[in-house]
Amino acid sequence: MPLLTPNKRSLILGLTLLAAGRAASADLAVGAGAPAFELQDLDGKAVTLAEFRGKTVVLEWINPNCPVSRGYAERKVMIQTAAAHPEAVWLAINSTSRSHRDFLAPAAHKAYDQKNGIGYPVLYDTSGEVGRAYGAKTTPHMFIVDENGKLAYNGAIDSGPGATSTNYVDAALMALAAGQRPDPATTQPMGCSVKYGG
Amino acid sequence: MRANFHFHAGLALILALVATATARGAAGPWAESSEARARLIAGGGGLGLEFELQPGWHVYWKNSGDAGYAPRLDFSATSAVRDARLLFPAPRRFELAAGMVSFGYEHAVIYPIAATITPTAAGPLPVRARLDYLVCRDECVPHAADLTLALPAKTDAHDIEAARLAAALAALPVPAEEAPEAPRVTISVAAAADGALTLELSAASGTWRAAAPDLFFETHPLFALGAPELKAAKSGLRFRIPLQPRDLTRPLPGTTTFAWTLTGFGRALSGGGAPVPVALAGTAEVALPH
Repeated sequence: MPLLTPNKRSLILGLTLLAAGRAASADLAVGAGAPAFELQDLDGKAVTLAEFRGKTVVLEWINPNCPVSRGYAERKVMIQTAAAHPEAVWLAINSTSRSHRDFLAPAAHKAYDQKNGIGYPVLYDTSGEVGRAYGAKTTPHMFIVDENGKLAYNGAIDSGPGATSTNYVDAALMALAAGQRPDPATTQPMGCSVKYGG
Repeated sequence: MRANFHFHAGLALILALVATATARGAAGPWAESSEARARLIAGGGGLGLEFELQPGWHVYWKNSGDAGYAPRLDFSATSAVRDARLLFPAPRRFELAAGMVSFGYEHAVIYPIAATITPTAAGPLPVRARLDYLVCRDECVPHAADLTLALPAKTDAHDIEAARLAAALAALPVPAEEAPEAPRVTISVAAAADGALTLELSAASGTWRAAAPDLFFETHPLFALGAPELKAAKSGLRFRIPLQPRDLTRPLPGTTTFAWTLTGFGRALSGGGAPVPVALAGTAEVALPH
């Protein structure tokens, strides 16, 4: 008789992988605990994931010098989705390495945010530690952490360019607000690669 | 004699090029960008999407890997072209920074298009398609373009575009079940004692020889697939691919399918229709290593 049921085994698998840390190409599984972080915003103010416990948190990997990320900002997709969900906290994380030419200093980042109506916090993760912990691959790459601190969604903001695009994050937030699990809970993120350092 | 043959082949090619340039347009105008250009081509009753890329830039396979996305073509403005979908040549692997990888094509590529085309009684059929694509080097640039093509009512089988499209079709990965002489490919999922899942793909060597074999998978709804690790054995090739469940909140099904493309042979092979038992599905007995 097996000591563990298959589902428990798969849970342990997830936990083991979490404990072992992740390469950038690893994937954080839905249902796994969202890695804790403390990062600084553009003003140098510390922001932690823990301070939003009890709320739904959306994490958007951002890079203003990535045309895909910039395109979503210019089309207002992110700010409109955020505005439609005041129940959720929206944080952007920029994991671009300081040594990469895409790196944007705080003043320039603020100007970009202001121009595009981005009012939510943008956090620097220049070491890439948080991006790697989540397995953030692209800009944009979206993660939703539920009110219990578990990952509820991992993937793209929407189904991509075109008039018939489906906004997955909007649908996932609506499901969570209604007490349901997002479906789909995982999609394929699309965009430029995150510009991690060496 | 050999040189003579080459001379005639070259002459025929030049004549074909001249014929295309002066006779009918079986290729639409290029949609140009700084990084790439794209156009529709037609011939032999089929359509294709052609890219030419500046050095260092690439466009994507159906699974773009850790970054990017595959081109999308929307023919909804052309009622005579229905159910259009791109067919994907075998890709190559692009190593990105920080251990990330993407799958696609550099230099030039033709994606043949599978579609139902309603022929016109006479005269060329105007075809219009909206193209969205991403082209990447280290950085990525998204582009959109409206592609047009006057699809000839009849194309000459010797037309240069028809020949290029036919060559692109012939180079598509061949489904393994349609290539009985190809290596026999078997797939299984194994679970280690700690629950870690590994997909194993074996290709029994037949008469086919692999130069630099590589293995690609389409995106999977349940699993993130890691980098394939190749172990060449006397009996053939064996790949091990780490599998990570993407969602721990949903039970895994008893079986699933993995769509794969194996390259490095004279012709790429594809497969993946057969259901593969997933070791942690819950009902099946799991054979754990001793």
